[in-house]
Order: sequence, then C-alpha cells, then structure tokens
Amino acid sequence: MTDYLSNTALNDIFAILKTIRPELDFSQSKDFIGEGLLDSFDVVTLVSALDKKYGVSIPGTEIVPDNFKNLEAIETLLRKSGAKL
Amino acid sequence: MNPEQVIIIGTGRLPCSCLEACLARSVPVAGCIESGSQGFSPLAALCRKRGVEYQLTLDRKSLSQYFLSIRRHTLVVSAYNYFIFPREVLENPALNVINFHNSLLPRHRGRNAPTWSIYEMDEITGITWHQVHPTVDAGDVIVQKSIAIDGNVTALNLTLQTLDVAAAVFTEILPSLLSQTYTCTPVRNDGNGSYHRSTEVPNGGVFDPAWTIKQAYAFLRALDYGKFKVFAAPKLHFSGADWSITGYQIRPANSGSLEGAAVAFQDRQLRLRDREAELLISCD
Repeated sequence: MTDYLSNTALNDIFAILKTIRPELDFSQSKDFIGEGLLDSFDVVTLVSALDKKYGVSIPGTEIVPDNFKNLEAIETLLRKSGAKL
Repeated sequence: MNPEQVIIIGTGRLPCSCLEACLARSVPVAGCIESGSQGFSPLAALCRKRGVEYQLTLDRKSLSQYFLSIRRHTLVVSAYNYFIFPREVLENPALNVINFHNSLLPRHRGRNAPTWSIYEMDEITGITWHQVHPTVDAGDVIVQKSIAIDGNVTALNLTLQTLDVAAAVFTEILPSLLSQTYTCTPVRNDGNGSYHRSTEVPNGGVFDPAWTIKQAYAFLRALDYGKFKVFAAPKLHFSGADWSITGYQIRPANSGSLEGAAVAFQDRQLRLRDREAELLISCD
C-alpha cells in the first residue's frame, strides 16, 4: 500500500491523521472510511492540513470517500493536486 | 416509564459516541438511523462492527412512518440530525425524543449556530441537550454546557468542539435519561433568542470593507467551514468590481502608527490594517 510513498511523506500524513483523531491507530487500517475512522469533518480538516503542508489546493470536488480510504489514495490525490512527494 | 430501548438518529461522530456510550452501559439499542450523509459514514461502520441495525434514510415520510410505528418505550437520541420530527411523531406516547443543539439555547436556534456565534462575536457558546418540541430548538432544556470562543476559531473548528463536548455530556447524562430521573427547565426567554434558517448567511454573504478588523475577521471565520460548501464564497464589492474571497490571513501590524483602519486593494488582495493587526484577504 505504501510502496510509492517516501517514509517522510508517510510519516507526515500519519502525523496529520494522528493530530485529527489521536485516539485512533491508522497504521492498522486498510480502509479509513469503510472502517469509520474518518467522518466528513475529519476529511475536511485533513484536506486543510494537506493543503498547508504540501502547498496545494485540493479541490472541494475531490472530497469523496474513495480519495481518503487509505494512504495510497491520499497519495494519488496529492500528486494529482500537484504535490511533490 | 423507563425506556426499553434506544434509537439513535444523526450523522458523523456524535451519534457514534452516543452509540458507544449506550453499548458501554449494555443499553439495548434498537438501531441507528442516518438521515443525511456525504458518503462518509462512521456510524454505518460502527454499527457493522458492533452488530447494531443501521439504516440510511433520506425520505422524511418513511422516517415519520417508522417512528409512528414504534410501540415500545423508546429513547430517541437525535445527535447531529437534520430530520425535523413532525408533531404527530412527537405525540407518539412511546417516544421520548431528545436532541443536541450546538449553541446555548435560546441563542442561535436553527441552522449553523457556530457561524452565528462567531459572526455576532459571542464570547461564550456551548451545547444544549433538550427535549424535542414541534417548534424547532424550543423544547425544554435537559443540560447545557458552555464553551469559551477563541478569537481565532473558525466555524468548522467550533462545530467540532461542540460535537466533542456534546458527546462527553451525553455520557454523563445517559444514566438519568435511562432512569427518567433528569429534570428539564423551559428555555429562558431572555430576549437574546434568535432563529437562523439554513439559507440565511451573515450580512448576506457580503464582506464590508468598512468593518473594523475585528468584525471583518469574525465574518470570515464565521463562514469558514474549510472546503465544506456550507455557504458560497463570501463576496466583496470594491471600487466598482465584484470579487469572491478565496482566503484570508491575520497578523500583527508591523507598526502602530495608524489611527483608524486603512484599506488598500492591490494584486487581488484586500488589506485592512489598524493599530494592532493586519488582515490580508485574497480575492478572485
């Protein structure tokens, strides 16, 4: 799942997720949405943090469950939004 | 009569917290209903995991019929729920319906209360759990808890704060809800009550460059739900042109030499500055 992500990017995204929902262990999940780890408020908060961290502006139209289901999906979204990972 | 079962209706993290609180006390939960969802449903996932019946129902008529059909004494917990219970449902003697509201009622009844709390520069807001009454957000108060409003908080962040507080308070009051030992107080009619429709936007969604920086910053934060399109982007009419506001930033002023607020517009950026702060507003 994380083959294409650098360790730094991986750690950064995990750190952001941990800030948003500190009580949850995202490293053990294969589907953040299907397993109910993130709700829509969490995802909007995550998008703001990713925008800031990677200097991009993820369009609101991309805020759909498939784009946040796991690290690979988030990575794809970031690259599509112009992030240099 | 004490409730024989609980039904939870809502969306997002709050109904999940309510469900967890009930299950932790081995309360029979007949089911959870999501009355609105943007595709992110932690409630559905939690119900699957905990073996609780779940249904996503957007049809108000079906929901009404479902609640009307209930005969067992049921505590209905409305937790971040957009379904408005019709009078006939509330008249079903088997139901005791309670609701979470994200303000200190009677202040900011209706929709988007955090927005109005910030825009009106309230120093304190909070949460209310109350009995549901046919008039929206007008039922007797079961419990309220205050939240101090930080001067930099956005509507999104304040919404999240109210949800966290509401979850904690629900856990505290659950035993009294189940034993029917709680007391209610009528909503205070202190002249500070207000009602906001979902279509209502602070100042019609238009930024006023004549505002003080404090009011301008409050307006921008009040409409800031991140990338949630709760409201359209705020508008700005300036020097004969119409703009949409795409972002904002506040920072301390470099110099305290100004007497009044100064306004300048350059390179698609409106700059407001007074003695203490500078507000930079990006436009498109």
